Amino acid sequence: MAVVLRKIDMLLVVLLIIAIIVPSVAISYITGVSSDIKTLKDVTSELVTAMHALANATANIADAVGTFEITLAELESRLAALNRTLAGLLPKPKLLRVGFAWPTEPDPAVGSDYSSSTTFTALYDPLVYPTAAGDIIPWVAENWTVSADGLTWNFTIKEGIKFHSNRTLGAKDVAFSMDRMTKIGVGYGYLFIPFVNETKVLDDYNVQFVLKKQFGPFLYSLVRLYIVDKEEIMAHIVQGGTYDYPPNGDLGRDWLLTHDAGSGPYKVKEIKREQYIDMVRFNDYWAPMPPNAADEITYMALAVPATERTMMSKRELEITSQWLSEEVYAALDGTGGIDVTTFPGGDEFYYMMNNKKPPLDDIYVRRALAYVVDYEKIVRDVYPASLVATSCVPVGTPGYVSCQIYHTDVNKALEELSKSKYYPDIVQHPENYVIEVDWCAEVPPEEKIAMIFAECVERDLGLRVDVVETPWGKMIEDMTTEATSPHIETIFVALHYSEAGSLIESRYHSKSAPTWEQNEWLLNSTLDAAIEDALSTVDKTERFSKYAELERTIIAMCPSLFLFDHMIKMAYQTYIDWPAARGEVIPIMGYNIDPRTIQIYPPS
Amino acid sequence: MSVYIAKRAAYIVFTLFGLSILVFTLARVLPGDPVRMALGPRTPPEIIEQVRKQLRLDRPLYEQYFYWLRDVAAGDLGYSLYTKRSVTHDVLEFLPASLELIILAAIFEIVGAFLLGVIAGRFSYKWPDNLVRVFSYVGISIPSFVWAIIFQLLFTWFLPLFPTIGNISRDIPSPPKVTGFLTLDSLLAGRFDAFANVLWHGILPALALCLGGMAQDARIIRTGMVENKDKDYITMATSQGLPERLIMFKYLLKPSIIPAITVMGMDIAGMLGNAFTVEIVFRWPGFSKYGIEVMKNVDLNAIVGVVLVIGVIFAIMNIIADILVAYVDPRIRLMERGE
Repeated sequence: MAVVLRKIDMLLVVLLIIAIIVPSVAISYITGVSSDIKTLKDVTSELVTAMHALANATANIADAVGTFEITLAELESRLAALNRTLAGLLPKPKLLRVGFAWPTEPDPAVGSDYSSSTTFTALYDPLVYPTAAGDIIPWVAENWTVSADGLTWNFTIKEGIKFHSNRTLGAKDVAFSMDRMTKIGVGYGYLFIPFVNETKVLDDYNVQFVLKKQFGPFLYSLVRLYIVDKEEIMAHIVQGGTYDYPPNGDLGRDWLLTHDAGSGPYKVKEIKREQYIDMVRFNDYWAPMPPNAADEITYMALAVPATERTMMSKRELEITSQWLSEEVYAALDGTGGIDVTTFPGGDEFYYMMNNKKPPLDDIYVRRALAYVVDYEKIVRDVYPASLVATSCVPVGTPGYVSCQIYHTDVNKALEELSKSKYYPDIVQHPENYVIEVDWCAEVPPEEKIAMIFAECVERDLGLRVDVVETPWGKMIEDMTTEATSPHIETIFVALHYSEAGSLIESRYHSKSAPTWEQNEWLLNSTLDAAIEDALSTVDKTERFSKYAELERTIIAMCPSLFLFDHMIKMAYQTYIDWPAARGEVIPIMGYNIDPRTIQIYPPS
Repeated sequence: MSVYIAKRAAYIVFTLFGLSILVFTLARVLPGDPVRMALGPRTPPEIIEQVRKQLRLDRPLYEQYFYWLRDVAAGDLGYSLYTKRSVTHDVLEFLPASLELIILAAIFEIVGAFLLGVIAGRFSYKWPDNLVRVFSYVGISIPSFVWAIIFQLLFTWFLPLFPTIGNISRDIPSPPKVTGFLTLDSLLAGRFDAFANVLWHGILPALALCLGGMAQDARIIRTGMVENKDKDYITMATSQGLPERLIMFKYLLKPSIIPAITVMGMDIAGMLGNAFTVEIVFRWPGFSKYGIEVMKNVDLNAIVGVVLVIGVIFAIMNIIADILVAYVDPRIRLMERGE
């Protein structure tokens, strides 16, 4: 019993303990929770307050930003107004804006026409630089040596020349420029491909060119080697594009469509392929620049007479293109503040006679034509600024010699014709002797020349002339074979480099017979050998003497009619000082509009 | 109407396919070697051959066409020998500028033609009609490039109110390129100065471009109105005492503009091909000028690309004109429904 009671006591004690502890714990728990809830409530309330504060702050910030934006816009507007006012007070920027026939290729391994060559002059430095005297001076190359056999040329590169990328120009860039040009093969690549065998970088500032064969004018042709920034180009090559030069992808061709990699006095600001090239001064240019050199240059696609005339009159253009009509030049010349200048274009206008096609295969017929043409009338009526040709190369070309023997003399023409083997038949059946003259459809004045020629020949010699308008593309195709080459093609041909040998070779060497540069089909191995001999002569005096002999020989053979030396005509604003307009003419295409020498004095 | 549009769209596909074959073949039989012309006359023959191979011009014509068609399906119109980049890139660059010019010209043309046509029709055989007639003759007989030169001389030189060349001033930075349309891109960038500047540049070339069409359309509207004036339903409306304005714009103008809408559609579509003279004079960097340059340079892929794009736009304009005519003329809608 006692045990039972003890157990009951214990149970009661336990129950008592439980009764005391559990409520205590429960009370304590409930109190705690309520405390936590209270805390939570407080925290939430604080959080809400904080969020309200944050929202208010955000709203305030937004307001502040809005106000700031408005203030900034006002500030910008006021600054712009101030800028305009200042612009009105400050000297006008010196701009050089020139019109060209387009397109322009800014890549020096791709372009070779007038506007492209002019652009290279502004953006790049050539290895050597041409002078008005027809010589060359050191430029990127400060000196050079040539081996006794004339095959190995070593050039020392001037130190301290910076590219527009701020890299330093060195021998590797020169070698790369030559390799790139010969690899791509278009543009001026044709000058080097037949001769350059190998390029070697000797050290940082010495480079070597090894030639396949001797080429006397090699040094002079290097005015077309424009130095490009190798690293810049290699950083922008595209693999697997239309052009692929393994392992160097497209050699930067795509990138150079709208950029430059040069060291010239100007760098590309913007290129709009079909519109213009904008260039700005390169402040770290190494060579001295004139004090009033242009701040910005724009070469633009124009050649619409009315547009150019308007722009010149509004002083929105400093130099016109060279393709305006005589009437427009005359009108511009009569406008105040505008002058017109002419200078040799380095090209000659030929009537290329097919020497293999009867009756022009007879030298007496060719000579009769040479004596019957009215040279003075052609120059006077069609190309007034040009000069009657006095050799088979343009006057003033280094290596040129005056040796023209043909002039207008109808009696002499008839005398020559009477010596021809065709003469008896010509007298009896003149209708069988129709001479076809193909003139280039893209150059309308050539038609007038063809009409003058036809008038002279038909009136004085009794031969018939068929004047045919021919698109340039068809002319090129016709001249690829002897059979399809017409009696006469009428074409301007320019120097490849500034030496008589350039034109003598491209016009009369047999290798040019199937090209547009020779319709004569001379195919004279003796003449070929003499041309090659002259071109391989490294000594300049001796080479020039050989050129003179060649010129006399060619004139005596009368393969062509040498009509006139073409003069380029351009109108310009008199507020620019342009050496070419003063008669300081560099006889290389693209070097006459050189911003290194042009100064601008913008009118107030 | 949707069946009608679908039918027209299907015709377009066939038309363009035929056009592509025709132009592709024609471009390749033009005289002159395109590669030689592009690379320059002094390029060594081996380089010319190399490029010819790269461009697959050494393959038979059908093979060239197959490759071209395959590339076009992938959105590539080929490589341009003239610009030295892809024709697709050229189209995207030059087409927006031309379309902007044409849209502006179209607005001028539509507004001007309606205004002049209605005035001439309302005052037929009176001095306003005679004045519009003189304007129409002058507008139609003088080609757009002459207008371009006249406007350039008058309003940029004698009265320097407008810029001489270009589509945006050089001192106005171009807006970031999004659509290629300078006006749209200016608006997207919030550049209202650039937007206004582009419009300012476009006014003279657009006017020069649209004058011929405007004059012609005004005459068509005028003639339509004069003819319809004598119709019975107009006499009836007049006799019932309907207000003149209501008769003029609801009953007379609506049937009178139907022939003009079709002609306008063709005119506006034709501008893309004909705008080159105006684009050259104002040096507007447009697609039409690009088309002429590539044709001069026998740029094979570009020629085909240009003709195709013009074909597509012409076809689209044709459909739009048809829809408008169907909208204005209930007879067309009923005919389509077979009623």
